[in-house]
Amino acid sequence: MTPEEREALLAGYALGSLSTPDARDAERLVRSDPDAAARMAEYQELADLIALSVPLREADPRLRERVLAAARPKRMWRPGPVRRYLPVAGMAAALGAVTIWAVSLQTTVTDLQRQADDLTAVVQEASKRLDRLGEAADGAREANAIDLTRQPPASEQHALVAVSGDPNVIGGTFESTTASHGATGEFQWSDAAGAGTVTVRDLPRLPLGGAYRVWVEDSLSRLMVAATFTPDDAGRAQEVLTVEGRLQPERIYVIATSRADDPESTGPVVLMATIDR
Amino acid sequence: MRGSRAPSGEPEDVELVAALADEDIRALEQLYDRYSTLAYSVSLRVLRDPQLAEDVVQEVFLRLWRQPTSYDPTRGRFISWLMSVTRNRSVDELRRVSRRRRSEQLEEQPGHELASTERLDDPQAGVEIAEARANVRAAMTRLPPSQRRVIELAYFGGLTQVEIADVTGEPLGTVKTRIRLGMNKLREALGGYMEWEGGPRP
Repeated sequence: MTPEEREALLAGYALGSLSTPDARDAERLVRSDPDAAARMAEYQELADLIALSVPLREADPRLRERVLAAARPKRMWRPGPVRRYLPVAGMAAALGAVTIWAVSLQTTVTDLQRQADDLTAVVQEASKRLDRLGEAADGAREANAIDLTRQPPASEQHALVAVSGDPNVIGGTFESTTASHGATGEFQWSDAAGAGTVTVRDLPRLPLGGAYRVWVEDSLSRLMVAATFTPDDAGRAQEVLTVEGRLQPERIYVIATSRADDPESTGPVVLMATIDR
Repeated sequence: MRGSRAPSGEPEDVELVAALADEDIRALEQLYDRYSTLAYSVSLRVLRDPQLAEDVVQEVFLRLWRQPTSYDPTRGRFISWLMSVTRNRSVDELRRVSRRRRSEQLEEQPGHELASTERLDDPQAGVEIAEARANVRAAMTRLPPSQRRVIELAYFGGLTQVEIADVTGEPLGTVKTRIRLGMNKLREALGGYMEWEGGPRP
């Protein structure tokens, strides 16, 4: 590598403009060469200064109020020990799944009372729908069409049990965005299970063919779809988040997309949360 | 400029960040008033979307509020850290929204000028920062346009060198050379504002 190539590599890295293989080369160079490390530090300092060159623009004054309102008080909590229930043998599989879901989110923390109330209502509604389905001649087909009464796949059931049984599960409240329009929600994430749950309500109604997608993002800005769902008529939904591999998410986004059938489609962030470890 | 001296009589950045650990909402207010305009301007420059830029600024300040230790004063100035975090989050958001949209916007607005809506520096941001801004802007202006453009495409556009070559129609080697030459010229021009003392960077 010529001195010019080396300089170009370090400068490009500081600007975040290298391809992944080149970035790895730069990182190896910095680790092995103190002079390169010092040079990289200079370039990164320069890159930070470049931000100062922007013409100043003022944000909407209401943003200040939004930030301060969201910050007061700090919304970070870890729920206490979660009561764990095992499915009763012989219980109908679909109802069992819904029940596991409900009790898994019941905690003794008063902050979660509203969530529990909402869940109770949703479970009651789901139970009614199950009763109706049982009477329907084409119950099986209809069950697939009603989101809240569907039986989660076995992997989701396992994830639910694992999340609810994790004493170190991390919970939090979603923050609103300019696209929230009153939507709220909570999440739980279990590093041990590599899975989590989201409970959302009052989501804006989507156009036909649209869906909400939950993205999780790790510290390296790697994004992965953890769930895709359509809320009920009241804008409510509860979803299990599962990711492949060993991704440890730092952020969760609920995104509205107009194309549910296209996994690459994206749209406005409706809710977002940081997983505070 | 380490420590980003505050306007006379006001607490320094590091003191305000330390106060965040005690859930001092006034400290957050002061940091927000001091830097939100700059953070929003950087995010807006990257995203070209006021709503998305506001979301990023909100996320950055709330993350600081919840995790004030994410800023380590021994690693540099608070303003550098804040700009770096804001820029990186904005680029992440940009990549999420659409690579194609970004390229189209960059081509539609060469030079990314926002001069028509530029306003004077906020005095609350401090004389020192205003002076630094003036020098950085002057240094950027003095760069040959071809070098300035590739640096801006990389930093504000979040493009890789390969993508820059694609957007500009220049060979990849030319892009790399322009970035190297441009960054070295900036280093010469802004040496007085660089105070990095070595050690690992986040």
